[in-house]
Amino acid sequence: MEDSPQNSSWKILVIGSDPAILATVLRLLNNFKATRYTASGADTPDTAKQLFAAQEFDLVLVTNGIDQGQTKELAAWFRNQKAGIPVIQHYGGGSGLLFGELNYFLVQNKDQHGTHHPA
Amino acid sequence: MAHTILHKASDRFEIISDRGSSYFSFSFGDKYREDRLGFGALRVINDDVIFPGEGFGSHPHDNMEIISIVQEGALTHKDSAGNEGQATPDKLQIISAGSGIFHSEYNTSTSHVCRILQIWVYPNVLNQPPSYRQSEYTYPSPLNQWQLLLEPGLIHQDAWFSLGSIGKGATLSYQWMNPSNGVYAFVIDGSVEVEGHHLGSKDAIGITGIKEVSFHAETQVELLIMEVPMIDPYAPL
Repeated sequence: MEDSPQNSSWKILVIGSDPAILATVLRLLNNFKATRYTASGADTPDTAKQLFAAQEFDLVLVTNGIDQGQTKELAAWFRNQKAGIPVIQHYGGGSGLLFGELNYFLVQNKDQHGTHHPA
Repeated sequence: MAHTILHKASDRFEIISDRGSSYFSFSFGDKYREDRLGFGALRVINDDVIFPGEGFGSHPHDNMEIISIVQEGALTHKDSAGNEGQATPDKLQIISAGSGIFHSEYNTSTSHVCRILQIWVYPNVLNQPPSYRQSEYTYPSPLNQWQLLLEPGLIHQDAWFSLGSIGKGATLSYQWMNPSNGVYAFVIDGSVEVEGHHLGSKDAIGITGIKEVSFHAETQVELLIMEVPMIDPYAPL
């Protein structure tokens, strides 16, 4: 609560193979009131790489259906493109843990790098 | 040497709504504190009261083990895999969300509240086929002994849950199933002394670094023991 990146706009890339869950996560992020998130979705690792190459993101969120080997390969690829970007596994599927995960990683990233600010 | 962390009932997040009330032991939804992100693989303990006819409409879950312990009333579940069921005070509900399901949960009673503890545990393997199951147990729990509610095989994690009812003045010891795990003890009702701490109803204590701990009941007490691996789910990928 205290550390929420209030009045900021964070750009989030969400990757997940289940269209209904991916749509839910995108809707939750894009409609969240306390913090401004702009979320884009990718249903495959290749689509995610294309989006990542074309846009600036502050965090990559891996949801369901991407196996752990693919996730590790993706994380390495994203970090090679943009050092320091948080690539995190989202658990739970809905709003329960989502905003806590984002708060934790975005605030931590900001603290670690000092100069990191949302767009 | 024991390492302990005390979580007082009054320090939980409180949500009051037309649906009922919820007390979150750990950060959940838009409630966030960085020092309340769970205890190892244990991530959520929501202490909910659901009013008659109220509940949670269809919503998704994935990659989470979701355990519902009903303390009063009944909780009716339906999910996108075609499962339907009702959890009651003698019937544990276990959902392995795995690769993803949508489900709803309602108190279908028109006159009685439903009180539940809903507990989420991180799985040790991702994207498994979703499953729904119930497990029967004795309620009220037998006095001065542990009743095993949950063990590996029922969920995708090396976790054990036990329920204990301890009579006033009695002491009951818990021995770790896996010495590298941590134990999170949640007081459902009553008061108890453990490792020099006095815990009341809904207080909790996390314990690591030992293999056995004794609970001394100051009143008759109902305890839920959750033994879980001390993983760091927030470790970078």
